[in-house]
Amino acid sequence: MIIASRWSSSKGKVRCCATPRAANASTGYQGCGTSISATARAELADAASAQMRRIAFASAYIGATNEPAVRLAEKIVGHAYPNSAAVYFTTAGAESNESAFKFARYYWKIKDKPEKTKIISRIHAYHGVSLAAMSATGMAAYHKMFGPLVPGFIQAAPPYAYRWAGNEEPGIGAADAVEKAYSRRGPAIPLPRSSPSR
Amino acid sequence: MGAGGVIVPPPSYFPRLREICDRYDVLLIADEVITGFGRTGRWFALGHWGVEPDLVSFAKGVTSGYLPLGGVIASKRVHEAIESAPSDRRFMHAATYSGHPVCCAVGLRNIEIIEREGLVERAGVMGRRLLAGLGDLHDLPVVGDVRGLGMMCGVELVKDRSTKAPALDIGWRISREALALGLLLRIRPGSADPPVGDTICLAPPLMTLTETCSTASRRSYARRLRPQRADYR
Repeated sequence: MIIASRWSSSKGKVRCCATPRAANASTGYQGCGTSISATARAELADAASAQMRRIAFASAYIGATNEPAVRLAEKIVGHAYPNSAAVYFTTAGAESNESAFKFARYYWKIKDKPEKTKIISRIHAYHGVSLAAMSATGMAAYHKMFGPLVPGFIQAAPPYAYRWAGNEEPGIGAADAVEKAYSRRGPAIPLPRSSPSR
Repeated sequence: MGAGGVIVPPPSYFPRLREICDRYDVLLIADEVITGFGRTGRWFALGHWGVEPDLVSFAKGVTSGYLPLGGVIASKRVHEAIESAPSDRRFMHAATYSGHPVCCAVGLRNIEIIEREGLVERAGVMGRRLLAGLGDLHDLPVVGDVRGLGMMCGVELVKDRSTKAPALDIGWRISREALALGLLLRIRPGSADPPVGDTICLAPPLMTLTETCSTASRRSYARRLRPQRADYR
């Protein structure tokens, strides 16, 4: 039920978080910030069970869809932004970011501006486990492990008020850092090895 | 920004970024995988600053993790472009498990719970309480910065408060002590270059008990984050 992360006890035995003791622990960072409505909600188990008994799988190919997907998309659009119009479903966050990058590039191709392909993200940001999501991730440790990056990704300084070294107000300065990164000519440049680019 | 150390943008940031994107005809993608579905005290985070992104990526909170599900929200502008694409350039982006009915049924029920129990509003109220409670940790010299928005908070640790020299290899010890007190934490490991101290990241469920968020109880986050040993106080 809880999280599958493990740790070693002093006696060398491996224990798992999914024990009654850990279930009673306060989950300060539950499932990487996943939990909104918390654990052990029987009605969520019931919803899964009922749907599995009704239609357990339905392909979303060739324009097909299914009732829970349509109803959920309507709910999400209703709670999201005034300009929100449609939802494409994935299986996880990395795939969501991959899809968003592809949608953005596709948008400009449809608008006959195929040269618009750069994706600017922020230093320190984490965007997911897949290769393009890692290329948007502004953490050098991942790039060292799994480089080279997917072409077209650039990182700019984040609005990190506590460690902001510039003279500008950090929110303005960090937004302007994105503008500078965009305005650089030529191909995307890789993440600098040390200090953030401003 | 979540896993990167809970970096909360100043109010000027996103409105300015939207303005820059509009000026250069650039799309704005909001990665709301952590912030989506109420965690910050709004259904989606850019609502705090009245900014509308063109694309939103989400996951985690849509099902509260009960089943794997994520997605992308497209704005009218992007959706209409995709819908109006000529047939020789039509949109091809399909996946076997896209819109899985069981995951979506759980997501739907999860959102009904969030609505029924007012968890988005609760995240705002409890988040302010949590941040105020964690603010008490400022009396510890090792605490450099305490920040947060709604039910996500970061406590950045430093060796020296005046130079902000990052405290490294201390987070995991605090994490171990907190676990002994029954509190699960995530530590964002710091680095010397670029300088970032180890950061304690908190993102508890939105229905976390009031007493856990305030400082009055021994079971509170702030009380259990206080170092128990003298060597890194």
